[in-house]
Amino acid sequence: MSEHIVSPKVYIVIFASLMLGTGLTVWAAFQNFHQYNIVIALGIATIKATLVVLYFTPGHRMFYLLASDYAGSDARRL
Amino acid sequence: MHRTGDLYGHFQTLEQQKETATLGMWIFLVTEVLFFGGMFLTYTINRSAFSTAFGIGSNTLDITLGAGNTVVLIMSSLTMAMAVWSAQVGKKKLVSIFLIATLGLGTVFLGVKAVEYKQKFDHHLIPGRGFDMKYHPSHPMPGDDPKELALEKNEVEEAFAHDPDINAHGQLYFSLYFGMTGLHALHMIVGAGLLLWLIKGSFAGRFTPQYNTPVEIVGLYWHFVDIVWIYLFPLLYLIDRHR
Repeated sequence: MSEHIVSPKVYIVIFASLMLGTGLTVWAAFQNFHQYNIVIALGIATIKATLVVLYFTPGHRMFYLLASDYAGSDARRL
Repeated sequence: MHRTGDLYGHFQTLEQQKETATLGMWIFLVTEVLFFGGMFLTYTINRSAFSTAFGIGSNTLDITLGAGNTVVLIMSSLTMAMAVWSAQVGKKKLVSIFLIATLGLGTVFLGVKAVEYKQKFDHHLIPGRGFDMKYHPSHPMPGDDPKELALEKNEVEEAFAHDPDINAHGQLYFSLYFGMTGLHALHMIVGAGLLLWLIKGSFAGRFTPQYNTPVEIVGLYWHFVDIVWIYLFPLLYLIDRHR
């Protein structure tokens, strides 16, 4: 498995998106969306968490490990 | 344990060693989700049962400090990711710089949290005998804005009219506030210890494009702690703010 190096530019874009998400969360909290306030707050939080997992961590590698290395290619190599 | 360079005896290659460590950390983080999940469930049940008390409790928190801390923590995630990148491309000096930046931002977060906790002590909002949601509006502290205080007083009185047991239910909110943010802070303290260990290793030039597993694994943990806060911030600080 070759190592995939993410460019710092990607990190900066993700960081900016996370900042935007934080601002949006605070803004949305002061609007009256009735029962949907909590849904919107948790929706934005989930998008932010997904961005962190996918871009800040080698999250894609976990899926690669589970999907190919352990289930498939290692067994074939044996 | 037998070890050749960075490779431990029970692994065949550095790559296999790294994959094993990464998978191990992910599994640990899954158990952490279960651990925090119990608290989030307790929170959900109590918030839906005692929404007035949770709203009023949440409104006593300082949004500027909470949002500021969110920014600080996300910045620390960025510097952590940059530390991993620096190790991957062999910039040894940058590894140390970014790790120290991450530790610095983590410390700022904990410092702000300490300021917030102190304020809750001063305002008699610690669950227990001295707990009184009416205390702060009638005992202004130096530096309090009289307008905001009048609003707070009004809000607390309305809440009492709506829910006479507000002091009991407010303690539930603050128990969860201290429980959840305290547990989160404990994870930050553990992370800070791990960062110190990494910084020591980076000074010795231990992390290279061939071997940077510890930086990556601690990075995973640090990002997880960041994600927990991404949920805690709106859940604890932003209830009923539109009222």
